[in-house]
Amino acid sequence: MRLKKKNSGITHETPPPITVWAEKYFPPGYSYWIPDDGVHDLHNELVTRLDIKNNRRSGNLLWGAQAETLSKAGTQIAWVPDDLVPVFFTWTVHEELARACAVVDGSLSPSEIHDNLAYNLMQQLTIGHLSAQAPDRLSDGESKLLVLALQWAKKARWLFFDSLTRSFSDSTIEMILSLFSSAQEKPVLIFGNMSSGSPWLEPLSSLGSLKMRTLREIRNDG
Amino acid sequence: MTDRSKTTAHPAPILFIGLTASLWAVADHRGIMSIIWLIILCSIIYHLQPDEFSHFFRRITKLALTLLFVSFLQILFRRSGQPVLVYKTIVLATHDGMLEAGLLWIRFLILFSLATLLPRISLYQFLVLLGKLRIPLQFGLMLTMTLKLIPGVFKEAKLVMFFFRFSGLRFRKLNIHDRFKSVKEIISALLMRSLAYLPDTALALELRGWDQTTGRRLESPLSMKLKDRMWLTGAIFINLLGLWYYSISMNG
Repeated sequence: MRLKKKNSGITHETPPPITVWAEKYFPPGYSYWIPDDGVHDLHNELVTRLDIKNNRRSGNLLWGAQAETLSKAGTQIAWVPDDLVPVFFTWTVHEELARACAVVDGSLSPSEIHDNLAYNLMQQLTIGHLSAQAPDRLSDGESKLLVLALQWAKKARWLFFDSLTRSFSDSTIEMILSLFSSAQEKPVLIFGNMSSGSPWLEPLSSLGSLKMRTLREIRNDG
Repeated sequence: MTDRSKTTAHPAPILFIGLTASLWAVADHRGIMSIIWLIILCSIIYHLQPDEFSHFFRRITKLALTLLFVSFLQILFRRSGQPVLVYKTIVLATHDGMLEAGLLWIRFLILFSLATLLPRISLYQFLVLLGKLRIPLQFGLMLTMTLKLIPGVFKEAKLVMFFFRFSGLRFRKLNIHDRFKSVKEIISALLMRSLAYLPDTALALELRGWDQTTGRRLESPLSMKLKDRMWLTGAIFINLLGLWYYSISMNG
């Protein structure tokens, strides 16, 4: 996993396979949408790429090279999954967001700065009223919105959305798009399960150059 | 396909054998009774699942290196007892150290055999047995449900680990305080996810008529076959033999 150059003290870390894949098929400078062809699914693609189901032992994800790779992938890849019940590590929404902001700085103890960042993010996504609620007790839409906030806080290079429209109302989607457009450093946005007649394609193209990418063509290529 | 009825065992003899084997493994300082119980347990495992016996050994070999290391330390640091292995004037191993290392292996193997054997008990039969032992039905249900949910908990553990790592946390870069905090976070997340199973199980019970107000009795016969009776009698006999042997040797 880690190659050390002799006598130089320089360490070169090999990038996780999923970031190599993302770099190749979703290069920066564009946003992407993936059509729903009924066969290939972005969710399954990411589950396979992140090797979630093939791990026979949970320990494999806690320590060892595989866990380290996942951590590294986690710093660069953000993902808002649909068919994966999210796991939260704290007791309130605000704590969870502050924790996510602290993790970016390599810590698990949020400082006042992280608290403020979390507060701002909650205001932007209009989930301030959920601040003191337990993350496990949120509705599907609220929970997905919280996951988006957590993934957005990671400041990753790529943000994968299994489905933008599922569980969200039109006003929530508009609010999410305004969050994306107001960001100074936008990640590469990839939206899965979109139909070609979706009314959201036009607003999405206003975020930047929007390209279509099919998973079939990616599979055939790789 | 393996016939499930042939590979499952009656809970009474298995639990009795498991209990006595564990007690002997702790109390026996000579190793004789522990070895006898280990042989008995291995024979039962072979009898119940002959096809999977090789898997049982494979699982043991995976942990053998760790055990070898621990027993090596035991031999190295145990200085009391008669010297067994001497190099010039240095005592490399003593009788006590060798015996303790041997006992360590036997105890581990007994534990491992029990862990292999206990899943062979049908959960429903176990619940019926608890009822026969006058243990309240609610408590019995709680216990069996907990056992039944263990595979689900493993699945949840995998998911917790995934989200923990995918949050971008570099464990190696955390300070000591945060490392401890991360363990606490993982455990509390796992606990919360496990508790989330409760409403489903409660609903499943209510749908079967096991609600708070309606009393239900288990009306399943818990009959032992000849094989089970023989195991139980054999286990009682070996226990008595062991007690007799130790009382003789202590008096002698």
